[in-house]
Amino acid sequence: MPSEKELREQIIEKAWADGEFKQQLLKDPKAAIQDAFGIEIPAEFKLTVLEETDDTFYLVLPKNPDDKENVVGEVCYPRW
Amino acid sequence: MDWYKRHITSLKPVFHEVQLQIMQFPHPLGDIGNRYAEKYNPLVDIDKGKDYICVLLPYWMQELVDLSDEQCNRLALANIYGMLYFFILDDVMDSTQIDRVKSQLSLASLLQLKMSAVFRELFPSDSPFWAYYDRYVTVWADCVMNEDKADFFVHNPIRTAGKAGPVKISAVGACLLAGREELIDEVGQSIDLSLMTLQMLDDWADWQEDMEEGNYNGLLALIAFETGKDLKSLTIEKIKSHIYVLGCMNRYTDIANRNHKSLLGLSICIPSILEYHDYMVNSLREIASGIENNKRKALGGGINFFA
Repeated sequence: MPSEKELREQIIEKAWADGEFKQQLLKDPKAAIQDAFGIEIPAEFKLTVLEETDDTFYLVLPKNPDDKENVVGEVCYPRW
Repeated sequence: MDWYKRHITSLKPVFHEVQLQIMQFPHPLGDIGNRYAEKYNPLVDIDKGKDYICVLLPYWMQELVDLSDEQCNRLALANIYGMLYFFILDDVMDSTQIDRVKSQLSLASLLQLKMSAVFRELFPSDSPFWAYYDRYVTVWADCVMNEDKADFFVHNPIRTAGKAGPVKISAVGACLLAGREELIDEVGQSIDLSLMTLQMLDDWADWQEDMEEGNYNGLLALIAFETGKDLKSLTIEKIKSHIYVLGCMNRYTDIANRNHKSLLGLSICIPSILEYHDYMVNSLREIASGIENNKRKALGGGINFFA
């Protein structure tokens, strides 16, 4: 399982370091991630990989993290 | 949660007596009362207990003053009646279910009688106990009526402890029974700090409901203050942005951290109160760091949530 470094960064680093992985990632990103990291992305999710060039950049706008359910932490909510 | 688990054996007979006494209330208040009491019984679902400081405070006071187990049990019994009484008043104040008011207020009156009966056994009418009780209930009334208009959490946050202030009466009782009236002031300060942090946790848990119902909430008050706008003009989306994107839970948690520092700076030390407060502050820290971690992951895109 991937370590503390976020998965996105690990994928990018591997693509930079491994040409074969990069080609597979561009062609079939879910299969590439499954093979390299053991992570299965379910069928209902779409995943697109784009490669920047010297004169073409992409700015991805992630979903807003305003979601209490994703917050980790065991909390007691006592009244007095 | 050692500060809780070490006292479970003592609490069992106390809660049993509460149940027996409530069963003797006029029908149907016996059943209604025990169903209500069970909701706040920390012996049910022990690992995710509900109410601690109210029932445990007398036992924690044994760490500071010389009290017999029997005296602790009596103070805890009175505090349980008092806790249920004030919870019912709180429920009625927030309620939209008018049809239940008659039974709730009848039950509340009987619980108050029970509480007073226990305290009268322990403290004669000329005891200073009653002046403290008067004061705490007066502060409670001031708090529930005015915390909103005076924006307590922003201007003088320790005042938010007043809403649960009556719980301190058992600590006052403990000090008086042990002949240590001179400790009451600092004991009161340590409990107020704990009650303020407890209220902060409650406000985190309930902010959405409080916003919908128009109840005063310290977290919402902090956000309104930071935006410089009236809370009524802020939407839920705006509040969520402050919580999940703009890091206000870090600043909120810093307030609880400062409470802990103040607690450590007092000249008296009740170890269980320190442990209890530490537990609550850690809970807030976990919430704040959970939010930051989630934000960090989200910044990298949805793919990060599959790791």
